[in-house]
Amino acid sequence: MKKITSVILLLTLILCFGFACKKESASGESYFSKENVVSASFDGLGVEWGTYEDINKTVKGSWDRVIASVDKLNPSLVRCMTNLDWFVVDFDDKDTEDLSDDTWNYTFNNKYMKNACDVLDYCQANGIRVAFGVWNVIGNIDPEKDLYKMIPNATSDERWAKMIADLMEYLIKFKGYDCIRWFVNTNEPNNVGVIGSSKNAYNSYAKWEKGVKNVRKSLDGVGLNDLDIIGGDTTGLVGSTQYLPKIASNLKGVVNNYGLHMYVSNYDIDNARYQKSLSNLYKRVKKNDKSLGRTKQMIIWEAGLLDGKNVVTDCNAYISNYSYGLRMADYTVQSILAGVNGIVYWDLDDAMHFMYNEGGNTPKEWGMFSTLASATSAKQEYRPWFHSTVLLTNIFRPGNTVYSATGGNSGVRTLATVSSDRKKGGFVAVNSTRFPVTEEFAIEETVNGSGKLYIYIYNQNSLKIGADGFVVPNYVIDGSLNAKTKIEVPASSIVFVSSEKI
Amino acid sequence: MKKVLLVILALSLVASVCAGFAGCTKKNDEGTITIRNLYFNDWNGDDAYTAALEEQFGIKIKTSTYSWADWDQQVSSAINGGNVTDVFQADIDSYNFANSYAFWADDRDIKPLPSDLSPWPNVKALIEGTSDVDQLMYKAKGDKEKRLWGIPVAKNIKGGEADFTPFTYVYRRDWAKQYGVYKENDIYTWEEFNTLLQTFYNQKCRGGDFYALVDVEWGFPSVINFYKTAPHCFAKDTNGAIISNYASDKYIEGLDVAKNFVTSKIYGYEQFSSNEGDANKKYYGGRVGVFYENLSLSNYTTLRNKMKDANKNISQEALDDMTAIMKVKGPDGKYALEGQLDWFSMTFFSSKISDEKMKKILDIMDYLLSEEGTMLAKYGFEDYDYTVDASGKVTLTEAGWEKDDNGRYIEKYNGAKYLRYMCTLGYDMTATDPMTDQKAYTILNDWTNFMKEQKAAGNLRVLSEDPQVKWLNDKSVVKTKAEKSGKLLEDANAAVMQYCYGNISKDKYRSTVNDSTWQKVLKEINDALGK
Repeated sequence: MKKITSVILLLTLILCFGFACKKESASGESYFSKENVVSASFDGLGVEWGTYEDINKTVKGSWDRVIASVDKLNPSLVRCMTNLDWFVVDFDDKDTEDLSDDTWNYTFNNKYMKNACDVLDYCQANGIRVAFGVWNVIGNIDPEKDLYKMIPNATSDERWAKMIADLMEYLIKFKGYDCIRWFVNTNEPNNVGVIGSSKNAYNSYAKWEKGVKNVRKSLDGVGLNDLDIIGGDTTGLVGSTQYLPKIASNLKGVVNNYGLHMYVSNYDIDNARYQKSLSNLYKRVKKNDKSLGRTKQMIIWEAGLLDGKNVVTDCNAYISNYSYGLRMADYTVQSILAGVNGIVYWDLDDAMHFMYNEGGNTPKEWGMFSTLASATSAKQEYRPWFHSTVLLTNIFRPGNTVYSATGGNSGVRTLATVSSDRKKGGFVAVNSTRFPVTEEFAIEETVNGSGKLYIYIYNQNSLKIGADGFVVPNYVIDGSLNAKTKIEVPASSIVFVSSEKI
Repeated sequence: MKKVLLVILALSLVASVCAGFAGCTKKNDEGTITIRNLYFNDWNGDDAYTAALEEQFGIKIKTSTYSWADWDQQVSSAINGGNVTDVFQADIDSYNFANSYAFWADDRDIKPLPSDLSPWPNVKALIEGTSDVDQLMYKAKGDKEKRLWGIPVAKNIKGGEADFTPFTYVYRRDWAKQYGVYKENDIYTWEEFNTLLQTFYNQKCRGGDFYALVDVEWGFPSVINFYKTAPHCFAKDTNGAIISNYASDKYIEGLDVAKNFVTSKIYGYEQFSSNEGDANKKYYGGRVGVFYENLSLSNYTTLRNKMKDANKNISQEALDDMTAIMKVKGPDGKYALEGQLDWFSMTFFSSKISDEKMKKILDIMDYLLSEEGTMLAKYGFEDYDYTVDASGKVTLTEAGWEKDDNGRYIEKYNGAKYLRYMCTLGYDMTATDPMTDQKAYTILNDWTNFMKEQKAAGNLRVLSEDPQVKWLNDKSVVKTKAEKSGKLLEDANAAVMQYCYGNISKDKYRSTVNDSTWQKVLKEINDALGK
């Protein structure tokens, strides 16, 4: 009886929607055929979960909340960065110009390492693959205060490779974090900044490449042959276009992946220009390395939007708006359609990173929430894009096959996915237009799902949050992803359909 | 046969040497413009608006920036290292003209603007509307005529900027009201100003980290403005001869007032050891009664925002009272403000770029200064970020311009706005820019209009240097001035600080600001002017 009532209610709802929007609503059909495989083995989605720089600034007991949030987010990939300055001690240059006789020790028994290990413990226990790296070379920007004199040579300095091998050996061999699969050879090497303000100011592609080769040799030397190095970690299309094709030509066998950061204008997302630009970059890299898309993959290790960025505080004012979630879902679909095989969103918690300036330390607000004690209650709550990201990360799982659609309305971008055991799947439809659309969706690949479809609608009026604070389905219907299902996607909204409850 | 072989060998050698030279010379990429600008802080050009410009002009744009603190040095390093970007920005004024602008032109580090700017009417209009532009025309070594070697960055391409700076006092009107020393419309006579400072000191600043009067680091001691007759090095005596401003009676009278303020703790804050930004922090931290600052719209808006952040949930009225702008009359009953040019810094072109590339850059600049380019920089894309109706009314779209939790528009990452800084600071857009804090803008605008009225009525002294003296930089005529005036200014300011804090005597001060180098420079100027 309950079931009949539900069906009647649902039909009534659909009818109501249909009538209400009859004049504006467009219709179409999105069919995810077996031929339209975008990724045969997806790397999954994840989040930047960095080493907390000052855990004392967080609300007491907030770590439990962080863990509960990550549980719900269920990321497949995590990027976690740290600093060598936190660990290297007793440096002695022996009063010589010869770098090879320099000596130093490490202090891994400190709060920074504990904070990093807290993240890694979780990732290790939950099978999450981690890109672990070091933000910059060691030393002080002020040459007069700089003990190490590593900044001018950037990562090409021979001591860098030694320090990295020691750090990674400690983490992977001593601490047992084999969840770490990639090493990040400094953040955004192409983003050199200004001498006197940036540790990266003297870097160049040549120095970075030399550094990567040195690090590869050092890692192999301590038996970490399986630890890959991120091929790039560059930021932006311009910088990535400078680095990635060269990596493809020059570093075959040294790095086995391509990584970049993309912060994109709203306009480029809304008009799908982003997909086109990224696709061009992908093709350019593939031209130099045919194994891209087969044995090697391209992953976005920092994903975000440009508009709303405050250049002084490094915060983004858009993150609290629903539109941020809408565009990040669109960003995700366009990235994957362009060839990217995994995405890490920037970032989890405002409390992780700070901007250090004359006015004091200000948190970099790009997170899905904030655990900072100083944050307003509105900032501590989950931002809308946390919920849309939870749905994406849980539907698009690692190892899944991902399909694009034929047909469908323009302005509505879709992707479907099926698990490797063909038991789970789902799809996402992002309607960035100002008009509702009704589409029939179906996946050709057999999905032996639960017999139910869980439907989630993301927009300011419809997003449904349960008593536990997490997203819940707007409605559930009996059905299969293989059968044509007519669904309305409201204007400026995302609809997620999953064979499982998330 | 041997001879033929030798010739071939010689030719090969020549060819290889030529090839070697070609290899050493860094090829200028015609398809990419490299631009370095102070205002490109953290902007890397990866946005849709830059992409649209790149597409429109068929060129790639690569950007980099300077840091405020090391701007001059970073420019010099790039010039001396032979690695300047295609377009770069430098802080040019009369004090460094000879050692930078003229020097670079003589050495052909920079490329002069084309003599005919008619293909770029907006750039041409900007230059023609620039004050003192004739003084920037320079005949470089080997040239037959004077040429303009860069673009003065206009504050407002539409003109109408006040000829005085907003270097003035922001104060705690709420304290003034609380202690019964507030004057209507924030207008204070010199006596009333002194009474207010003394009252703030008595009520608030005895012991503890509170100060009646604090000047921004570069502005100390601001009270001299009400005495001196010229802004920097060179003043005139009653006969019109050029004298050392710092050694003039009027200046020293003001200097003694400043010293007295230090001694009596009105200037209780240690100005000599303050770091950049510290004074500002003290003010919004609620520890300063009166603060002398460059109240540009940007600085004033930031100060108000900081004050609001430091005092959560205060009303608009309370914020206005905490950041009111004072109008102080000097002992002569007149307001006194430093004069200003209608441009700040210059944009230069590397001598290494081709004429074609320079034309392309001028094309982009001209477009950005046009009505269409200005709309792109201010609002974004038409029909995406904004719409225009038949009457010309602009409406921002919801997709393009969203608001934050406080109902304020969220800043867009718009490359056109940044690139426009190559030519203008963009004051022409301020009134209608969605990002302008309209309340701050209105307060400043009211203050500016008030001062303009006072000037028209003869009640405002604008401290300006005679352009004839200021831009007198021809080394064949005033060699010492051209080479040493920057150092004279620096040393004189140091002597002022030392005198105020009792580290040197008045005699020592006088001898420092009127020594033999000063005498030499003054003689050069007076000879050149026939005084």
